[in-house]
Amino acid sequence: MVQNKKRLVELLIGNISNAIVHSILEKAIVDSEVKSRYKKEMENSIEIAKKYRLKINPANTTLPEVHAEEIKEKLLKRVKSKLNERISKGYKNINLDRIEEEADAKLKELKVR
Amino acid sequence: MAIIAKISKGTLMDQIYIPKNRIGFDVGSYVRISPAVAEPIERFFFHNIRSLEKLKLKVIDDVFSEIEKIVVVYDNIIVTGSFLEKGFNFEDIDIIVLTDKKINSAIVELELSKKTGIKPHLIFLSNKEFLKGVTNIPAYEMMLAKCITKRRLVYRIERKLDHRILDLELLKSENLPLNFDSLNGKEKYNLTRNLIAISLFMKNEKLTKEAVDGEISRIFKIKPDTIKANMLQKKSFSEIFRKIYRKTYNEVLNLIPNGSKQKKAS
Repeated sequence: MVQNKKRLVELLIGNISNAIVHSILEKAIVDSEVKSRYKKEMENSIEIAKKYRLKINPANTTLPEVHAEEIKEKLLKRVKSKLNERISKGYKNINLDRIEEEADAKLKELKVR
Repeated sequence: MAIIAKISKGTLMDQIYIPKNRIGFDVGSYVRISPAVAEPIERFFFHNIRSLEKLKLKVIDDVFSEIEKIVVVYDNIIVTGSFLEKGFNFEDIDIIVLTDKKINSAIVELELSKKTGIKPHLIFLSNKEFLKGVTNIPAYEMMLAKCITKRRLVYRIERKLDHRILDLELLKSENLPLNFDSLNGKEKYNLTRNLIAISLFMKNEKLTKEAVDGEISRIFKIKPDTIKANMLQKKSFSEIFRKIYRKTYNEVLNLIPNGSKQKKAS
């Protein structure tokens, strides 16, 4: 059971991090013509994350603070790692300052914190 | 239902040629010929479609008429996707409407569902968005490789490899290894197809459903139908998928023009 919860948390983090990376990369695109196409993908990742969140108790209230902080820490680490990899290759216009703000909003939406 | 065609001169008898892709007018059926008064000629434009079930042509005719009624000012209407594949194994009908007007897609979707009984998947694009998509997004090129359009489709594909767009397109497919256990077969197929289409797009290879399916079979050593049926061996499939994903991802990042690098986050 503990193992199962650990796996669900991993999946939750994976999908939220995908949504945040999507959102930040989408904003790095200068051309507005194709931007709207990617909003749906971000929403899709959040919808999947919601399904995993519902399987983690307590589902209807926020998680215990220690647990929530641990999730946030892992989430930030994962998003930063993904974006830093791109930056190291010369990818421009990636706004890293938005990571924490995006993470807080998504974790609140999913009743993690 | 009427078709307007021209009488052409024959040796012993004159004749009227009618298109093979048509609604009604089955071979062997009797028809009445009468002189045409100035009526609009109703025809579609077929792109890489050899034949289509008559019932589907009727649906497409309904789709075009219904959209015309609501949207009024448009540049083109494109029907694409699994609806155009042989048989009736489709879940929805993919429709792209090229218009610069702001349209409430919910209303159009509702009317189309009522009229055809099929769930429509509608995308409204301005001409600018469409042209940008056609040159930059592999999925758009795939959609246009096989389609039926209301008006003649005039465009020229000159692929542009934009690392930012391809990165975002590729990111979608990351969902497959991540959510393998919760995705159904169709979702897995779509995410695999997306990955392979991007890979072929970057190699400047042909981008059609057949080409992508062929590449899936070659790489994964399974038929695309096995993926659609969700009969995959998780370990072996995920391993190959991750390898191809990583390779394609590196190729996308290699497209980044050399420039000053941003400061990394700690």
